[in-house]
Amino acid sequence: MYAVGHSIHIRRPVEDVFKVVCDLPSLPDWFVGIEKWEPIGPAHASVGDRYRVLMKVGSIAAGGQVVITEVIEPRSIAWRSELGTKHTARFILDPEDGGSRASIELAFELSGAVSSRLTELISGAMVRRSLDATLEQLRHHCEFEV
Amino acid sequence: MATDTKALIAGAQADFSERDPEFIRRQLPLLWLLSTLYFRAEVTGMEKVPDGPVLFVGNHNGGSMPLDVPIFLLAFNTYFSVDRPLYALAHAMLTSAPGLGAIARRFGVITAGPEAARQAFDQGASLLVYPGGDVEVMRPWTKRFEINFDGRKGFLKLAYDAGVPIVPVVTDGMHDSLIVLTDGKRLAKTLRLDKLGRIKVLPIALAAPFGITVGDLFHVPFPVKVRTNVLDPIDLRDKYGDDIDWDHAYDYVTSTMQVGLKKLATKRTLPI
Repeated sequence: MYAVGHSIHIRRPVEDVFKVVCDLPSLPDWFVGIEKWEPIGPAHASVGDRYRVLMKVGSIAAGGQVVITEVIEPRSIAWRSELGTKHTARFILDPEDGGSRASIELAFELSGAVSSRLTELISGAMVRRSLDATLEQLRHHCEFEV
Repeated sequence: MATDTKALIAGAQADFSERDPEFIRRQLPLLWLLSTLYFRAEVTGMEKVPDGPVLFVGNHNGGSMPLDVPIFLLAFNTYFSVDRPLYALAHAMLTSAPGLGAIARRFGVITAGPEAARQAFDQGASLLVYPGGDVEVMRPWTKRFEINFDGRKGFLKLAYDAGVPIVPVVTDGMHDSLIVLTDGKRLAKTLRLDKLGRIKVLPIALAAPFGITVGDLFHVPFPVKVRTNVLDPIDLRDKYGDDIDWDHAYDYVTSTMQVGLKKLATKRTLPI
């Protein structure tokens, strides 16, 4: 698994930020690069919810189907892929200086040997920039729009 | 020497008649070549610009050669035509520079100052400002994805008092056209450049053709990919009414631009 992560300080308490993060049907509003995020069946931000997802990475949109694997209020939400590009993702919120420290960890795995390592390296940098922009958007959304 | 120094600080007086639409029109093909072939520039979002005077607020990149400014001027003047007046506020170092200053003034560049800005709006013109100025344009390369207006809030008061919307403009890529290793703020202060010429930085950079340079008086920009995006207008009077909180407005505008810049950076394939 190739892992990338990012974090940011948000001037809102973790409870407020969690409300935004756990509203999973609205995730494309602030997750930069997500082109498709559709619930399969009912979506209540609970373990077992499933979504079809497409994320823009370079010249293509990678994706598949993910299942929510963890919802700990107001601390974390995680999912893993069931179909498509193998990956896991986790949002973590920690109290920090009267606000929150929001972190995203994303790990993915590509098939193949040498070429997949090179692809992971280059696409990893692109995903890292997406996560950076995503957290910036989440911060802005929480601080100014809710 | 004292007179020269004074002229350098004060700059040329803002003379609005110096903007020369015919001159700008004649330069557009050359600017297009520079923009398209050398920088492979993409400018998006121009359709969001409302009618009437607006205050364009940009992030400043590229050291002493911030060529994203002419790229934006090209995009504006071709989208709206040279008949829609746009003035860009600049440091007196540019407007009073021999040769280059005269060319810049014909493009509509005027010496930065609140009175000149107000006069421009009174004439129905739009303005382009870079509040981060020398501090942002010389920021270290490691901070190329960061908006840094150095706490300067004058642009907010300008837009609010004139009742014109702020149109944020973010640019990514131009700050790769040289690699600023350090902005040299401490060195500039030690040499009293702030007092002598309102210059707060003295950068040390890796740039063509001289390699390592101190002060970055001139360099040839690397042919980097440049992307500019015009964001949604922000009307401070609509948003804050008569009781504006300047700190909140500053945070809101810079935060909006920070998001815009980082989203633009996701379009990069490689880090540089």
